[in-house]
Amino acid sequence: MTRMHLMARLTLTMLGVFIFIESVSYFWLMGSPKDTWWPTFYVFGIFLLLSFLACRMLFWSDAWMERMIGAEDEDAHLASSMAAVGGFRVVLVLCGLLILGCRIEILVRAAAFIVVAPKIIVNMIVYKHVDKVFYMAVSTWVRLIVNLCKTALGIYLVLGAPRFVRWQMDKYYLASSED
Amino acid sequence: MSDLHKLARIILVGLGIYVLVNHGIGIVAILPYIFYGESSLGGHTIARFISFAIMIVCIGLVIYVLICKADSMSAKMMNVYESDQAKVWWLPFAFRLAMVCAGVIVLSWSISAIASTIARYAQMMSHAPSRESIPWHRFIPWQRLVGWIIQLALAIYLICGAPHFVRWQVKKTIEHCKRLEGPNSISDQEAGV
Repeated sequence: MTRMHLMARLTLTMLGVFIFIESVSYFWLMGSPKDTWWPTFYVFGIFLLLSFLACRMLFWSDAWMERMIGAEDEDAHLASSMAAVGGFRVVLVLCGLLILGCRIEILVRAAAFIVVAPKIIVNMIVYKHVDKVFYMAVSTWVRLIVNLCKTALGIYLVLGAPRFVRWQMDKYYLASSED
Repeated sequence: MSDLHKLARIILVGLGIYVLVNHGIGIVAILPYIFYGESSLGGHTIARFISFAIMIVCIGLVIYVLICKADSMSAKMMNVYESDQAKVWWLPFAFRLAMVCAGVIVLSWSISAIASTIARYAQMMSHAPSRESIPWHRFIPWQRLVGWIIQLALAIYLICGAPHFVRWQVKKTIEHCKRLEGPNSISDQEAGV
């Protein structure tokens, strides 16, 4: 893998993460109550399109990468494994911090819920009393779940996304060095 | 000035311009509401002015540091890790640069969120029949308040370069590379950790 390939792949990875986050944001619009079916269908279409784009950038970005780089010299500098792993980790940690940075409130709410959760569960089991926090509209539930998923993704990325980096290295870096 | 130094400078100035344009437009957009709002004769005008002033001062400070002090900031980032023994000294530097970028962006988000909430609260208070009718803790729940405090603390820690986090990340990256290339590929000292 040359340095230009690595730069292009890092750029596409960053774009892919942000497009994926954007696509998930469309997902909660589907939970909003509507009288007709077509807005939900339309929003679902946008969600699918953005998710597809994000997956192409994150997992199958070869074609776009070649188009970004164009014809490359034969004596182009090869990227070291440290540059590849380090580059991926820096980019993913940056994405994770930006995702997590605007969802601190969700983390605080989740922590507060974990503190009161045992009491609520005991009430549900022993007294058959369902707490009022669970009586929410479907759209609110969808929004909550989507936000929690985004927060979880942010935490995974801040930790350096080890599995994703390993997969990228196995698939692209080691394969190209074997060639 | 090395290439990485130049790169850091370009990124910091670019970030400064982003904050300037993004928040400059925001400030211009809310100017009429600050000076000619319906409640400009009310007592809460002071609160709106204060929130506006805080926002301008904080954003101005961020822009000043990023654009005018970009040289010294990037030099500081380089000096911490640059040494002859370090084989991959650029790695901590890259992490540090990413932390500073994330910190500035998170700080600009939190400043604008806090200032706009204070301004909205002041505006609502000006329309309310009495001061007690809208208690601040109902308008700003404690979770949001705690979230803001953590967000600000996180932004400041990141702008300072997040030394502990960077050290941990570099260590993990080297471990990853060792697993990939074998145990004798690179040592922690060579990496400048």
